[in-house]
Amino acid sequence: MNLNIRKPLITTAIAGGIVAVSATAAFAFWTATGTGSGTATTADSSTDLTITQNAFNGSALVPGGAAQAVSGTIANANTFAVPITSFVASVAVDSTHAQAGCSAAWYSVPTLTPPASVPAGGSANFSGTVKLNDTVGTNQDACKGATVTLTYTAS
Amino acid sequence: MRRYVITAAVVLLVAIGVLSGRHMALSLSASQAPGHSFRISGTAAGLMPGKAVPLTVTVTNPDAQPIRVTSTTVTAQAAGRDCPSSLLAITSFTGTPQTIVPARGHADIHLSITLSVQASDACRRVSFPLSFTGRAEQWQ
Repeated sequence: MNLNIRKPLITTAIAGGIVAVSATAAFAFWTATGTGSGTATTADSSTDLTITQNAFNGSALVPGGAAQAVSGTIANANTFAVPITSFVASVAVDSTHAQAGCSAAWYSVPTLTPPASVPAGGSANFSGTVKLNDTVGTNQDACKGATVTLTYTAS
Repeated sequence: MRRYVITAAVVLLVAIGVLSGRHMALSLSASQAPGHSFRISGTAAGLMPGKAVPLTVTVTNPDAQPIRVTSTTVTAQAAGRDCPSSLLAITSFTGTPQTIVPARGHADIHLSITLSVQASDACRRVSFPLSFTGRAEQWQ
């Protein structure tokens, strides 16, 4: 009879001891915090825009004649949209006609309309006109058959 | 008489268990709980507007116990007057995937950082200072 009482009590006592240890060990669980510093540096350059003029479909330029339309696209390979704040075109005449006396200054680009911005990884169109101005009192025959090259610069 | 002996034994065992556990708790609390800290570092380069750039954050654990990182937050400061910190979008870490830093070891956490497309040219070749904070818990 005594054995029947003793065993459960001893078992209970051992269990109580273990539970007490486990409970306090769990209570001792800790957390930690971390701190530090670093930097994030921006790139020093981006990819240039690519400007391509479409094939010229206008009439041959003649002194004082109507301005002829030009058009093209501006491509942007960057990961961000590029706003166009400046868009200009310069005119050059092929060397043969330039040497013959055809001046690039006789040509002009009366209108040039760029897109407001070029989307990231995309392209946008531009348009404009080019003409050969009539220089009164000056023989412009040197420009007959000349090839005019427009060079566009966007920023 | 036997009943008193058994009762005394029970009380003694329970007392030993409680005191042992409390002693362990006090020992751990005194030697480990205060001042537990780890180091966090990381850099990112080549930021361009609109492009997500990897930001690898390294967590270094100086303790003799492994830790599990539960959170990491990155805060940026301005890189000059024209480049406020609001131009940066930085991801944070909230414990997933599980990251265990071994005792006296280190582990990497992969975040990303993106410079806004609103960033001006003034933000070329500049560095945004980053501050890291994190939390971890004892692992085994």
